[in-house]
Amino acid sequence: MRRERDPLAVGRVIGDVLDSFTKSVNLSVSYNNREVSNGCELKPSQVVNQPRVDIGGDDLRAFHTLVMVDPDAPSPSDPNLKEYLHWLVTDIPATTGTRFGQEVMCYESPRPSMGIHRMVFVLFRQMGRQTVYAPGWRQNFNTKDFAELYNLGSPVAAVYFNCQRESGFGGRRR
Amino acid sequence: MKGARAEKDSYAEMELLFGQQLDPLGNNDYEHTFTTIDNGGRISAMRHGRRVPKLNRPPDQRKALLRALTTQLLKHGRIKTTRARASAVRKYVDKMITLAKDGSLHKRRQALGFIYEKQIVHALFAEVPERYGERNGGYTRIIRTLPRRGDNAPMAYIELV
Repeated sequence: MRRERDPLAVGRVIGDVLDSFTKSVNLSVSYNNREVSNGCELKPSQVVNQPRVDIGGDDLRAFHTLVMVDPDAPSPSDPNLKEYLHWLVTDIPATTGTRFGQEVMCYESPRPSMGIHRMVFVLFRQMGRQTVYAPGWRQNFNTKDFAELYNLGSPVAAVYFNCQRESGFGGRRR
Repeated sequence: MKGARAEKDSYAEMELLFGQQLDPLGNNDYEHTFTTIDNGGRISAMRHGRRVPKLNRPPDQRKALLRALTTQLLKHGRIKTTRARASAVRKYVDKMITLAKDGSLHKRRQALGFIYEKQIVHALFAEVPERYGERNGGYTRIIRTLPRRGDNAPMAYIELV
């Protein structure tokens, strides 16, 4: 039987984007009432607007940072812009959602041009209320270095979904 | 065990015992590993002796399908297809990457004869030595996913490691 059962490890999110961690906070991301589960497939038209994110935890004084990256930019066969930062929200109190946080980098809807991209949501726990500065550009973002830089430690939750360009001309309809 | 009684409850009982469907036309004896179907063919639960995945196609179409799938996989890096096709195409993708690892002109021309697009072969020969230089084999990964809506075909993502 396969040794790894964790969808994040099977989909190589742990490995490409993150290191192994233990999940401690519930993270639920939903686009238009459709909940994102690991490895599910969503179309770009469904993810145009920012999702509704709810985090668990129990202490309202604990703050969290949510990062959304695409490790397969511009194409999974040649990810030289890896990773591409789509969304960055900080100072989210536990048990609430991203509406209560501070949006450091506004949501950019995924527009994969080639191949099937994984879009990863990562949740970190902050030490206190800190100012996180937005990086100068979205591409070549490194989640591990970012966590190292702002002392966020290892992630507390992660989820990912797949997204590919909707078939325009010449594409095969599913 | 039970004889060939064609009563519903005995089949239900045997189903509960063995957890599998029993074909009323085939043999009821649980020792046999294969069932017989109408036209006389045999279906086994194991892969014994099956060398080539036929993919329900004649040989020329099969070759074209595998060539097309490897071309697209090398081009896009990750594709979504049926599980049978994904596991059939692994061999050819590994062969192409092995040709690129060698890098000589003869191998390049062999690759050009298989892959449909020239650019992809040249890009492959350029980047494979640094990307897969240390990896010995196993250049792909298959991740199973939800079945396709139209015909419930089991699907899988296949991606270059």
